[in-house]
Amino acid sequence: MIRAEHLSRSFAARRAVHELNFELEAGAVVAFVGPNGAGKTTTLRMITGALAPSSGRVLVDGFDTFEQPFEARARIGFLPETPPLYPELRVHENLRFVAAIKGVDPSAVTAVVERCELGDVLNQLQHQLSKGYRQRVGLALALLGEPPLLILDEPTSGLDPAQIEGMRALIRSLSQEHTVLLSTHLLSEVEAVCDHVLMIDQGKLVADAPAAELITEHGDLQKAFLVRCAVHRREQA
Amino acid sequence: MMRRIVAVMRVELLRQLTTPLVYVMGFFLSALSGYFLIILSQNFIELTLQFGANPEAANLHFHERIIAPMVLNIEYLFVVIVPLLTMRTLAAERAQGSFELLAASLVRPWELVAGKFAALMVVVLGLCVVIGLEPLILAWIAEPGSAFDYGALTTALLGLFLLGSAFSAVGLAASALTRSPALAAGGSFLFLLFAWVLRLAGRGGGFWGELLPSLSPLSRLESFAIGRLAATDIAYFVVLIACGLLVAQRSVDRHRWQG
Repeated sequence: MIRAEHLSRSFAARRAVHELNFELEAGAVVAFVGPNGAGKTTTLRMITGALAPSSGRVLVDGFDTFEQPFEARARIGFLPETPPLYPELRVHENLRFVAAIKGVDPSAVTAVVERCELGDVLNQLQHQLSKGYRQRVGLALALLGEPPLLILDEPTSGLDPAQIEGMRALIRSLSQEHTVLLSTHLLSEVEAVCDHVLMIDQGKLVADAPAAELITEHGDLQKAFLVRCAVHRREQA
Repeated sequence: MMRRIVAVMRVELLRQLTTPLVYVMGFFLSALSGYFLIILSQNFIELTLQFGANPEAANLHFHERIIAPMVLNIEYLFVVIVPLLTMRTLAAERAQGSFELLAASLVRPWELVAGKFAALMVVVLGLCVVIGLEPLILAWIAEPGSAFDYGALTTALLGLFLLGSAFSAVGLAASALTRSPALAAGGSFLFLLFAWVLRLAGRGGGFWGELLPSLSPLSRLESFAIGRLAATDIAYFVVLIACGLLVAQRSVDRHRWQG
């Protein structure tokens, strides 16, 4: 579903992502893990085609996200870290707008509203929504058009424990029909919903393995993460 | 393609109409154009009384004495108002994060710019209708048979609409270049102020005194204001609009490279 080949991105002199190579199979729920500033969001933005790589390329379902951005984007549903809602519009207006720009039938809005349980907030403005509902609306926008690949950037960031559990349950239910790439720095989240892990540190991939394999090898994901990062930093030094 | 442009236009119109700014601008324009109309009408009445039975009175043209100066005064208001209307179009999208949605969507940069511009044209058209209503009321209350030139009024309003559209294209370009609406407003205001200075350069006379004002969009409104439709003036506005939209489109596309 996703193939990254020698993917790099620099901002002026700062190297945000360097030589990433990985491949994700369709139907997987994959965690993209790393500390803050590791390059997760930059990588996700390159996968969605919102940002051009400095070198290398990403293929989504065989389409180069930079050379064939619109073919690739038609297969992606993206939830950025801050849900991209228009503050001046009501929830149903935000949904109808995204349905229109995705070329999706307006009736599809009803389906995602039911799935994300947004019936009670359709007429509310962004500032009237709780953080949990904002994330749900963001997820509903990503789900419009039933794209085969869902990219979720920190979907549980800022949520309370009950909202986190609700969002995780929703993501688990989505994994039956979509490939999910989930960026997070919460390892408990990875254990709860993901079956494969990509770990990134200082812009470089330090692990690409099934979650169960990393847990068997290191005891738990936190140790796996610390060990892999320490080894990588030692090599860099 | 059209569906995406219409969707972007619809959302931009909703964004414009859910903030009080556009209504304040409409009120401001309506009040000032009404004020100009009253002052200019009083002057016109005084002049006709002074001339009395003098045959020169026949040369006092209602449109050229009242409507044209009113329209030419309003163009200065557009220099202030249009940057305020355009400042949020793209800059605020980037600041509030909704640009991310568009950048990762199927909307092409030119479709985004076209949709935004179409919405601004609708707003400018609305403002021109507000401005046009007052001369029409004046025509309605005038004595039956008075020679009110509806054609000239339409041409003057068309000129104002083209000027507002051209200013909108410039404002859209400024809004695409930054993520700060205040900077976008400042940038387009400076550009339009420069256009004003170009027009003032005409007072110096000579070669530059002829050339520089012809480059200013404000000078191009003069023939529209007196009811004269000139192909070169229309072409000038079309080129200015195209340049503004091209800069905006390039700038939107550039974000993919610069992040």
